[in-house]
Amino acid sequence: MPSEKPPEWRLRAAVFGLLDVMSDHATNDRTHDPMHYPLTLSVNHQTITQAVQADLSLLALLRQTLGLTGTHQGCDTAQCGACTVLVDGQAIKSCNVLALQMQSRQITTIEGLHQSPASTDHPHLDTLHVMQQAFIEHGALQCGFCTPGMIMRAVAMATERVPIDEHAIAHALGGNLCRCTGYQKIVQAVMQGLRILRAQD
Amino acid sequence: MSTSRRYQCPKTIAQACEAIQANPQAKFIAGGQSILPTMRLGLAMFDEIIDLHALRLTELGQITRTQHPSPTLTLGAMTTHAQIAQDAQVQAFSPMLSQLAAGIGDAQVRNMGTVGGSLANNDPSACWPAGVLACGGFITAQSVSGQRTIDIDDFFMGLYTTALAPDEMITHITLNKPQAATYLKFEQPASRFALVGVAIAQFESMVRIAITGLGHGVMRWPAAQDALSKRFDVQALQDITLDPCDATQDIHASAVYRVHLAKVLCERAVQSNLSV
Repeated sequence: MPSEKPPEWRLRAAVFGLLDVMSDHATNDRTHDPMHYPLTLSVNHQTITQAVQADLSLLALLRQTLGLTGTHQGCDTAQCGACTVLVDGQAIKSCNVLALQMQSRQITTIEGLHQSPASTDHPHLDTLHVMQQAFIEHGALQCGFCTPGMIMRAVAMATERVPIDEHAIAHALGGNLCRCTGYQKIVQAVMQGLRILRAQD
Repeated sequence: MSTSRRYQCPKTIAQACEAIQANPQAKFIAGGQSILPTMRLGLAMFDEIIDLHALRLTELGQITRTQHPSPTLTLGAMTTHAQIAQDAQVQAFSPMLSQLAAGIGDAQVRNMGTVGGSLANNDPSACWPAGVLACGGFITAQSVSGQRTIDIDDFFMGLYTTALAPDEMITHITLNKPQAATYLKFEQPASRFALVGVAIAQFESMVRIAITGLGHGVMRWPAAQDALSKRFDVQALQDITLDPCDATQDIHASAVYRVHLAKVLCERAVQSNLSV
């Protein structure tokens, strides 16, 4: 089908991010209707049923739809690891998966860690996960932006064959960047957390 | 932001083939670890996503070995890098493949990314194309017109291009068993993609070498293969060089540097094979 060049006002609208609004009003083209698809998944042991768009990332679902802002949005292109969450116990980067790819899966975010069996009954930190406590004890954060992702990645290591030594831990954390470069204490905290978690199993 | 992309999640291989047949503008997503960042940057030109994640629960998520007529390993296209890295059968078949899988990207990417997705994408810096091209074997592809096998030697056709027809999907990758094999890469430190990666596989009567990261897509190195097939020794590579025309230049490395690196990695891989 021949298509005409868009009029200049539409190009200008696109530059200012207004194209979607404008096109919805300007045309009757049904292909521009937002389409939603049914999604059911578990987030922190709660079953969630939503209708979502094809492009929606798991990160956007967690932060924008469910209001779980503990999972951070960093690079949004799978490089920094700030958005790391657990899917059936495995660490993944939530910015780089579609919400719809997570159909029927179990998601754990930083908000859901305290509900997991690894909790202890420390008098002051009784709702925190062992790995969160280890990060606090080691002062393993500066600005804190990478921390939720670091902790989620570290929790997943408990069930992986990652040896508890500095080099191995640093390598296993390779997908998580700390822009403050506070890696020394992060690695120490992960080592302590893993020792406790593995001793509990 | 509103989207006009449509979405399908087929439960069977047949449904997936019908979906792509019905809309040639659609895109298969296996693990999505390469295509989703592209989409995020607004560079992806497709109007429908055919999400294959449900197929990981079928034979496409499985790894099998056969002994007859010759020992082969078959990877389901939807097996993840992490799954392959941890699989005992893969380790017994060729530790090179386990190590290659364990070295891709980072742990989070390995938990989602699949071998079939990587091969179909054929990124010029990806690890899998080098690993499978060094082993040799065949790729099984499926479309509504049926199933066919493609020799791995005929599969890679340069930069993001493969022998797959637009309506075909990879279902299985079947690899020959080398006597010894090594994959070595020099990582580009920011992206962790291979700046250059070299896979060497030794068979009874020949040596196969596959190089990734040079820039034009994975390639064999016939001169070095011939020399090493006659005499498997670092000295055999002494007078052999790759032409910088086989490489490209970018902000990370010049073409001359890339081909030099390929030879150095090749020499180290030979040494590593000899010490097994």
